Amino acid sequence: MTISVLLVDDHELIRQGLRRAFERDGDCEVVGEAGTLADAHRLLGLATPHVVILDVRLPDGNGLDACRKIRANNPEIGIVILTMYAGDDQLFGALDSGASAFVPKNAPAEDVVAAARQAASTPRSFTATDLAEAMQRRLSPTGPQLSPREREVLGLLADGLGVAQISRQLYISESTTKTHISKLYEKLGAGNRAQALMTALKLGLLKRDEPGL
Amino acid sequence: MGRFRWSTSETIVITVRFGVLTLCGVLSLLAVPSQPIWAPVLLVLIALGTSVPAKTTRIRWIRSIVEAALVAAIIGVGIPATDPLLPYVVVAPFAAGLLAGALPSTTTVLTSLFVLSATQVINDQLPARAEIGLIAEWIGLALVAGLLSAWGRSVTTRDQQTKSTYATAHHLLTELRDVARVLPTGLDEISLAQEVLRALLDELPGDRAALYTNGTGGVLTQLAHEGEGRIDWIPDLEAGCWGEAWTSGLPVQQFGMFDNPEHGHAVVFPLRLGDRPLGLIGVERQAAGWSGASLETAQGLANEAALRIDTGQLFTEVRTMATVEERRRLAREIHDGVAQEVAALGYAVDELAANASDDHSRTALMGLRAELSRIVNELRLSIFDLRSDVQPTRGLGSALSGYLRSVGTDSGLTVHLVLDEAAFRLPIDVETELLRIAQEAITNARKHARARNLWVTCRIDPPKAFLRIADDGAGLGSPRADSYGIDIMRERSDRLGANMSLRARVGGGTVVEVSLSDSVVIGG
Repeated sequence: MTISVLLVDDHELIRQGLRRAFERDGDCEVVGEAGTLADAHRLLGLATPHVVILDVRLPDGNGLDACRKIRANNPEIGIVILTMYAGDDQLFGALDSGASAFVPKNAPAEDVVAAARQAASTPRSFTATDLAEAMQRRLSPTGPQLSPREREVLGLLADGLGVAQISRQLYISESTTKTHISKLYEKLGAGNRAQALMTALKLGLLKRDEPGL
Repeated sequence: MGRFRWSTSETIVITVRFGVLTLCGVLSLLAVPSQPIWAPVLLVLIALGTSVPAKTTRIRWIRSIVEAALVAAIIGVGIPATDPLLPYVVVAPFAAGLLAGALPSTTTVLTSLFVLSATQVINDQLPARAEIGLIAEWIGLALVAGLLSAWGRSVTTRDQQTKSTYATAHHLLTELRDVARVLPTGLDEISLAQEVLRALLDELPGDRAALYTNGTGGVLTQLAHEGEGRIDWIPDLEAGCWGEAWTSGLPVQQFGMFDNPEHGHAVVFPLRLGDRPLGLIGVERQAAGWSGASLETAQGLANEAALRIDTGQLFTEVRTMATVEERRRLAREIHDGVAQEVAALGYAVDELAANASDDHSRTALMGLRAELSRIVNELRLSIFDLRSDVQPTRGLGSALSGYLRSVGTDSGLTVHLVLDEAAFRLPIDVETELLRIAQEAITNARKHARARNLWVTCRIDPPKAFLRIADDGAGLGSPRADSYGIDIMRERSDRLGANMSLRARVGGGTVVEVSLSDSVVIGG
């Protein structure tokens, strides 16, 4: 079966390079090209291809938003996000908006073709070159980094101690304790003790069975 | 007569005045019963007298009323012989409308009407029906002409107001530029704040003092502090002497220091610009409290300082805005331009490699492809660099860890990050400069040194900060390779007044350190 592909990118040269790559492959056929999201939606309205190759920055909008829209209308269409932007946020953004694959623009054309094949056969899965590493980075605590003292204060807060008690236990002044607490709240994006503890628990900064230090 | 300068509106009025006068003259000459010569002569004298420029709107208004009254009297006395002069009653309301506005114009018309009627009563001869019609006609025309000219005036005034707003803005900006050049500390908010604290402590002896401003994201920022050690008072704007000073706008003294309520005294001064709270200054000491008089003097200093600090902050904000905007524009330009072109070139090389007839050229083309991929990746990271910024809600720590996370993604570096941030943030422009230095050092480690590990330490304790970026790469190598980047880092750290050091790491690699110390302990 021939895989039909729609290319959405505002750069003529990029579309041309990809079209040639799909032609070389033999199993794929580029059935349409669009330079804007408006054109892309119009073409999608006429006929549904197996796969859409979608750039993120387009003259009339964001490719990730478009991806979400296309996914809502066609649960079985393959969507490959192709972008010049770097960073985990972009990768997870693509995952969140229902894309089937994420390919950076520095990857060879063959990678785009391979991603398109994958997307055509399993549109609801997600592939990206360094997905595993990105997941690992996301899970490792690169978000809020607590200093050792802040960890201690957090543990004592979780044990239900008040500011005065914490100060006594750690031999620090009350205002220093308050500083640590307000910094903790800021790092955890919390407005009060309950929120701070919930967030800390979710991020794995606190373990349920681990008493305060 | 250099003193007499007519504005455009006045020139129009004078033109109309003498135009109408000429018309009246012609009508008089054509009139069947010959005219008394005194009436036109008097009108010419009045016209000359009222053409002298007047400075204020009020004077122009009064002048128009006088003109209207005199003209009406002259015409009224001579009626019906002076009928050909009636068009002249239009002139005064027209002048009043254009030079003073709608209300003056209307009063002028009413004056004409009143004086004309009065003269008829005094003459004791009721004019014929035709006369009344003629007078009413011209009075009506005068009203219309006056209102039209008043409308014209309102349109031109609005134009002039826009023009004068620009003129004011231009004047202010020029002044700002001159001030920024001339002032010993420039408009740098931190040095301004330090200067203010020192001046305040000269007036009001204390052990420690700190100045906070309503900085980024509505959070108080410690701009400067004086005295021993680190100050981490957390001003509570809702309660206590901080809160009271913040809401009342008056200095508030308390028993006990901020950190140690059992000893000494403390006082909080509000920094305000008019009614707008800008920040707070806290001072504490072990010894006894201060007298009311000395608090008053110190508050005077604080009031003076508020304007300076706010100006510094405005200036910084404008500068930061301009820089951020320019960086975003650059990012867009690279993204839409050269980056896409090189990426497309990569696809073209892919095609050549796929169609290559022999292994030798295929290997060569794949090498070329790898190089192009590397270049595109560099461009992607440059775009990312240009788009990374500290934000009101996202401080240096989180901007830095976000940046490192993404750089890790695309370079295979293992990143070890230690963040130690105090409760307060640095001013946003300082955070931005530090982030840029870190970005540059990290880029060097990644690009030129081919490092495998990256250790980043960031300690922030406003107004002090410390940043260390270490890698286990090839070391500094030939000084030429990345000297451009090092120059930029030095420039940035000089701008902050920070110390930057660059040395080889024990065990291979490079260490870059930037420390922003309190200017009091320079060299310490």
